[in-house]
Amino acid sequence: MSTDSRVTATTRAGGLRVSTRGLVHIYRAEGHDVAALSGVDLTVHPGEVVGLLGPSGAGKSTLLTLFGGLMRPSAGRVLVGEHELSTMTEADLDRFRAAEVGLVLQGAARNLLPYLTARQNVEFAQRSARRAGREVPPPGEVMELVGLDHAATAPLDSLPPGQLQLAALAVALASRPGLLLGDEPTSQLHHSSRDLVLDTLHRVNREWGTTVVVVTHDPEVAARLPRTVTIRDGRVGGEGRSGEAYAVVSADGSLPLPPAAVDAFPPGALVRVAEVDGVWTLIPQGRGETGG
Amino acid sequence: MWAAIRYRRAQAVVLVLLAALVATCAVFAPLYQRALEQSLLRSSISSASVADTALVVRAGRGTANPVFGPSALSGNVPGSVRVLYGAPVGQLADSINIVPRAGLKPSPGDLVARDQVCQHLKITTGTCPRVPGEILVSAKDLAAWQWPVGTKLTTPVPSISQTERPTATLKVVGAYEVVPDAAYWQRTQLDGKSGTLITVGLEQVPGIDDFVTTEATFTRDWSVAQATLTFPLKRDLFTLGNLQQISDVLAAKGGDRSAGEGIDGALVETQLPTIIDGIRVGQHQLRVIVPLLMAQLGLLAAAILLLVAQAAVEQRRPEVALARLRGRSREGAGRIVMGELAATVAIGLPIGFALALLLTTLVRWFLLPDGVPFEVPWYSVVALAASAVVCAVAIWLAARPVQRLTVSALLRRVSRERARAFGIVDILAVALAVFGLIGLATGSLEGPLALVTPTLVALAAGLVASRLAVPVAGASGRANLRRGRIGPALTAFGLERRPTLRKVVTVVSVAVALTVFAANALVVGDRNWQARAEVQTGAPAVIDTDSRNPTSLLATVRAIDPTGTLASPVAIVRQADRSSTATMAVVTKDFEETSFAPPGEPYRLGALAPPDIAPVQLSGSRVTGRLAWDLTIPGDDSTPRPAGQSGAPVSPTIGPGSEEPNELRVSVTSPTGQRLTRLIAQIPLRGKGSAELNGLLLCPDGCRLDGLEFRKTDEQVSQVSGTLSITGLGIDGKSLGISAPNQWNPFVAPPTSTSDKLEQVPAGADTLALELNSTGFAVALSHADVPAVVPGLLAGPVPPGGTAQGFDAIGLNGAPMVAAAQQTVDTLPVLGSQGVLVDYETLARLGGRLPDAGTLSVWVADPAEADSVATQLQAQGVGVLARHSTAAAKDRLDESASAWGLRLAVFTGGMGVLLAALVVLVMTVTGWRVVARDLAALHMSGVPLKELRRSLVREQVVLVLVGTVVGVVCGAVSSWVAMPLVPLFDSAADPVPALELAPDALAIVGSAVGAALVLVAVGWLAAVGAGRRITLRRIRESL
Repeated sequence: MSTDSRVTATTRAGGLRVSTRGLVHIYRAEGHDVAALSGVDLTVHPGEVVGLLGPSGAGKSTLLTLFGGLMRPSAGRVLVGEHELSTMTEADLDRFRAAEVGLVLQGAARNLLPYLTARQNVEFAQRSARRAGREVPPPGEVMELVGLDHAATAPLDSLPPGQLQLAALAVALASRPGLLLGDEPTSQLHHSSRDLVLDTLHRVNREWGTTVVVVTHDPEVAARLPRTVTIRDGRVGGEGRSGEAYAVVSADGSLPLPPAAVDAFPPGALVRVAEVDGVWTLIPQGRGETGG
Repeated sequence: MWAAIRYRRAQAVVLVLLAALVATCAVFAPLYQRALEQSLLRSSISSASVADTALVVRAGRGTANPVFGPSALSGNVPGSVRVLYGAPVGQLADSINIVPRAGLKPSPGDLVARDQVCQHLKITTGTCPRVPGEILVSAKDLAAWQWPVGTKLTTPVPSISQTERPTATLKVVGAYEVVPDAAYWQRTQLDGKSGTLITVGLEQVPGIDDFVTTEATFTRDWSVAQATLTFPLKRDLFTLGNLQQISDVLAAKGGDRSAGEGIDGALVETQLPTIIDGIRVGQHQLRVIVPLLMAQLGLLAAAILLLVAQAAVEQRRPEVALARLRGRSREGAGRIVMGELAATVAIGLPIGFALALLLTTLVRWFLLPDGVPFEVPWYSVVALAASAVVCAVAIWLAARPVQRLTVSALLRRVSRERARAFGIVDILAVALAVFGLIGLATGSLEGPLALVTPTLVALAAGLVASRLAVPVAGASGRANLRRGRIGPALTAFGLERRPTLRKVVTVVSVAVALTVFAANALVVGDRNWQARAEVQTGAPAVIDTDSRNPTSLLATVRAIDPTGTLASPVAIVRQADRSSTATMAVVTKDFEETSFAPPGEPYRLGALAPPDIAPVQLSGSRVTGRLAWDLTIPGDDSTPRPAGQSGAPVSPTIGPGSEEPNELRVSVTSPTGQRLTRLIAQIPLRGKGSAELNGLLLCPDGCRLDGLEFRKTDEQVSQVSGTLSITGLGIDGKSLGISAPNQWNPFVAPPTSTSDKLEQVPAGADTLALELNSTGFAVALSHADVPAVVPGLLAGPVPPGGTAQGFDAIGLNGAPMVAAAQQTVDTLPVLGSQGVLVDYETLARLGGRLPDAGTLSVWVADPAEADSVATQLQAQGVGVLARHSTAAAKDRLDESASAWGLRLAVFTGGMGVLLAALVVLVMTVTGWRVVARDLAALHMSGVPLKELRRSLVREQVVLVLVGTVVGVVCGAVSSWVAMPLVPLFDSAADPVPALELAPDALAIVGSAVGAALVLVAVGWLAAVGAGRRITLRRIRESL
């Protein structure tokens, strides 16, 4: 494990705290509604690097989108720094996106204006931030931070996929945001490019103190993140910290079992939760008074 | 922004082109209209005669002003008017009556003094008059009447005084021939009368040309002389700009002359206001036609610009999404797209302006008459600004939906599926189209909505058709799929899915409808101009001759063309009152060969055929035969009568008495066409008796028997009735054999004396027995070689005082005749909607010469033979006065305002197709990535590439064909209802012949097929191009 991947235990001054309480989001489609998130309670501390894991359709990207202020939640609260996103006006959300948050969409090309160079894309992204009163770093500094200063003025279509993803990252960082959100930032990349992007994410976190939240399917990527949050069926299904998997007790006291435990306790199974020798134990019905 | 424009270079070029076309349409309309108005002005002024445009001041001498010359009239023209005219020509004239040769009756003429007259005459003999009383006579008169120089001619001087009848002696000092110069002579015609007969009262006398003298000849004795002062127009002073000003000035003519100047009561006349009114009518027509055509095109171009802008904005959705993602507001993100599109469009606008200027220049060079100036009126710049606004609005409308989307919606790769229900735009378009259609059909709609209704109809139909096409395509796709027909199913599903369906079908519908409407308008206009030209000329070629003799011209033409299939004589005689019914005589059996088929119901020419009875030529010295009579006076009056009241004694005198005798006369027509009566018997007022006829015929050159006339000369008697019997009526003892009943026309009683009659009753061989009743002056029986009531085809109302069975008309010899309408027709050639068509040969039997108001022409069926016919006519001594042709008449109509205006249809039709082709291309260019990606996915699923490409081509062809069919129907409907909006003729009067505005099927089908071919070809090429891009790597593309 490289030094960049070490757990960032300390709170950074430049990072934003992200927290949700009872977050619900429902997609309204013709004829039926789909609950993408159904009560997410999650806190990401300032300067943390967090990976959102989970199967397709679990609600990871929706959660990321809500963090970025691109949608309003159907219910619950989303707090990013001092901003309660669910109650902000549209103009405030525009300013929030311009200055406080950087979002890397899935697919590098979607983040870039194809007719501009990487540096020009960064400059384009900085205009709104400046207009919002944000002091932005020089584009060169951003390019240097992501390690793309040598290709800053090259046409985008001449860049390899890894560098294109770095360019997308640079654009998201253009306003030196307190929160960097990445939707599968390493997908469709070779290992070397993937590592390059991950290194860059850690460097950004380290040097600017930016809070980083990325969605990933890739276990190898997850393994390099100090904290992972697994989203399952629209809820926080568990967390991983430094390689250890944990179940997370919800605000209402419920506790989602990890997948392996579900086999032992199928839905509908009756269990008794008891403290045995100082340890809280789940005891299936019919197993006597001793835990299992 | 410029980087973004460069990135989609092809699309930018299309947008620039489209904006340029919008600007071209907007700017070309006023430029073209202005150029046409200039053409109209020049054409109207140049085609008007010098006399028509001149200002004439005229006044007669009188007791108030017994002596003044033309120059005194100068004061009647205000200075503001005078500046428009050149140096005036003065003239003083009065009537004279000259006895050309001793023993003849005096012939009327004019004595004329005109400024610088001798400079415009060729003095063939003698000198120009210098002193009062000296005159020039025409060279023809000099020769005809043997007037040597020095001859003194006396004329009474016209005078107001009833008591004083002064005379003037005029001394011939020379002879002249007129040197033609329209600018100088204006309407003055000195010659042309010599050698012709002039009717004076009941007599005909030889005409003499006018005498030319000096102004000094007109002494105080010439107290009713007419002075005229003619000002020629300075044509170069006329511009469109000062037309109103000139009109105002002319309207006030004479009203603001300085006190003490000019002559009281002088008339100031000019035809210029009429010409100006004509120009204004033309301008009005252009203001209807040009917008009518250009508004359609402008609407189409704007709609296309909107559609293309929508497509362009849709393509920029990801960029808008990125801008929103990076914190731009909705408006800010929208401005990025709008700015890029606006900059692109802004490049196109000046190009369009330049294109419009170029187009106008080309039109000036190749279409319009010479001399039309190159102008850029201020309102063309306004039109450019308006097109800029239209473009801006189109871009704004296109960008609005994207601005309304949320960031997350913008980030979706596929835009939300459009609602399939009818939207507000569709409902609004349909409502406006229906409203417009009803308004046009009922004739209650005018103004801008009327002008754009044809396009609105197509727009609404296109929108509805495109809406309906989606479910139909879906159903078709499913049906084909069930049958295992993959190709058609793919095509149908492609049509169902593509957002281009709605746009392409709508635009193609509008474009084809516009093209069809424009092509039809042009063809229908041309059809009506051709019909008008044919009516104006009557035959493909017309030769106006100087012949005054219908019979001799008929013989001459027969010598040239014995069959009558190539050439035929036609006579037209108008009455003094132009609104009266004129007479046209044609050789009915030649008519169908040499003239155009008349519009409307075919003529029943058979009803006009000449009678089978041959004319009877009288040649000899005396009328002979035996007359028996048996006359009574019903309700005998016994009023005492003064002695000695008697008519002039004639020979022979039969039965003198105290009562005025009745007269029996034979009427004849002389070779010169004069109708004369010869007294052949005086018959006692009443009683029985018989006597030999022995009257003088007095026809040294032969006469035609016209009929018999019984005159009741005794005014004291109100009625005479009884019988007459003439046996062996003949010449110099030789019976004419004309006693058979069919030799005489049935008696026609005059409307005022319906009880009158002179009817033939059965009698013995060679005896003409007549039963008579006379309450008026005379009753007459006419020989049946010419019907008593001439059958004719009547156009227009029955002349006042007549009925369809009998109305007054004028014969070829100028004599009145009674005609009956065998058929009422809408239009007659040349005469239009007022006249009567009769048989030439029938009237020619009456003999005589055409009156002054008549024209003898030769109609030629083949214009190529007109030269030959004219040459042969001249070789036989018939002068050619003028030549006309239908082609020339059509050319004149082709130079009318409406014709020039409708030529714009070629431009609008072409531009409509071009714009639609551009849309087909743009929709393919902007959508090919998505389409190629879709089809690449299908290819990956195993559908052969060839099948996919064929499907793509079929999609395009079906789109174009559906739009074409809808467009053809809408174009035809619009043609039907909107053509009455198009003013085809300059005159506000009812058109003759009546307008034929039914759509032309060939024009509609032809233009539709042409448009469809072009659009299918473009669609096919675009689809082939897009099909080549179907590769598997497209699946990986995201932007």
